[in-house]
Amino acid sequence: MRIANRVLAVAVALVLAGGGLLIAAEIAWAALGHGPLVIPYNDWYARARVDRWDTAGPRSLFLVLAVAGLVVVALQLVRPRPRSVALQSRCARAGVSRRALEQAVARRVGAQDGIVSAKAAVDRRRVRVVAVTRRAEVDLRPRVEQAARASLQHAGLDENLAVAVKVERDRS
Amino acid sequence: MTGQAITGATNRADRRNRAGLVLTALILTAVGGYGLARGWGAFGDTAASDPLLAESWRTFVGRNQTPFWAGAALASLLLAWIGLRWLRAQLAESTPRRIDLTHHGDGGATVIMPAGAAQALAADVERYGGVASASARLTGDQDAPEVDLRVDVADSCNVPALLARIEDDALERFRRALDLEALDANVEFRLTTTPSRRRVR
Repeated sequence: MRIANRVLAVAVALVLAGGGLLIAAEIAWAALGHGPLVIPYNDWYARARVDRWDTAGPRSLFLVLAVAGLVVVALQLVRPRPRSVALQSRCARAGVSRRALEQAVARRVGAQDGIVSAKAAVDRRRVRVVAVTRRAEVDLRPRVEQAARASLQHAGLDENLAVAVKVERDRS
Repeated sequence: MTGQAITGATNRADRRNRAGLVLTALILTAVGGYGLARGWGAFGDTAASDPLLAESWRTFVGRNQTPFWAGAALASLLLAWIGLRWLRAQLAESTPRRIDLTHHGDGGATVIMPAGAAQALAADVERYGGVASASARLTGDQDAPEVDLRVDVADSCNVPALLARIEDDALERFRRALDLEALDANVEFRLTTTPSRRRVR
């Protein structure tokens, strides 16, 4: 999302910078008595005098503008997962990298006896852990939760994040 | 400092991009929405069947040619300036800004290279137990410098204790070395399996 925003921001900034300079240059050039440089404004002017608001051409243009605007607004409303989870600190702004925390929790849970593999996903309020086991007879959930909590405790985040555990049976 | 719910989730450049994009998108939506509404007769059938460039507009521009086009040129240049500033902000995020930390005294000037000072801070933090590696970068400006510190630590490291040591020790020493009254710091820890490269002081 952040990368998409960066790309979009660069594109919009380029359009603003390039478009603004081009329009200013066209105005200056026209003031000197010359015709269009790049923008065919004479054609646009002639069409704008004829085209009506309720005709297909302008409607299509306005539809594209409105949809593009709404799509970008909708994209901005999506809250991305945090890049880092905040730590209590005295003066600095401090946090633990979310991705690194997910990997650390998965490593610790995966190292538990009976666990074949594990995945962790951290959002703003909790850690979701999915552990895979081949054992059917034992309830591994408490042990998995304990391992995940131990990881959070080392990171100083055990009070900030809740832990949700799901243990799946490996049927392969 | 009580951490916000999340730190570093969106840094300044991300927030600016988001704000800029929302503003641009709202303008597009408003223009597009107005055009569609007018075309569909929301402002009456006469307004819908008007040409895009109304006679009254052409008369107005014809009567005020010089101020109108001068204003349009200025507005275009303003847009171009905003676009260029926005582009520059993207580049500034990826390249460290030069911060002048020169101290002028009676007998001359002391020049401190920001990159060197940040490197020294990182090396200082790397000496702490549990730290695998560290990197630092000075950002902000002369009046309000900030330091971004990234610390890779072992999974088993006690992060809160390490943070307290960094705040009380490394950052404080760094602030004093640069002769700064205040220093904003952003510290990000990354948990890793890489063994600590602890060095003895």
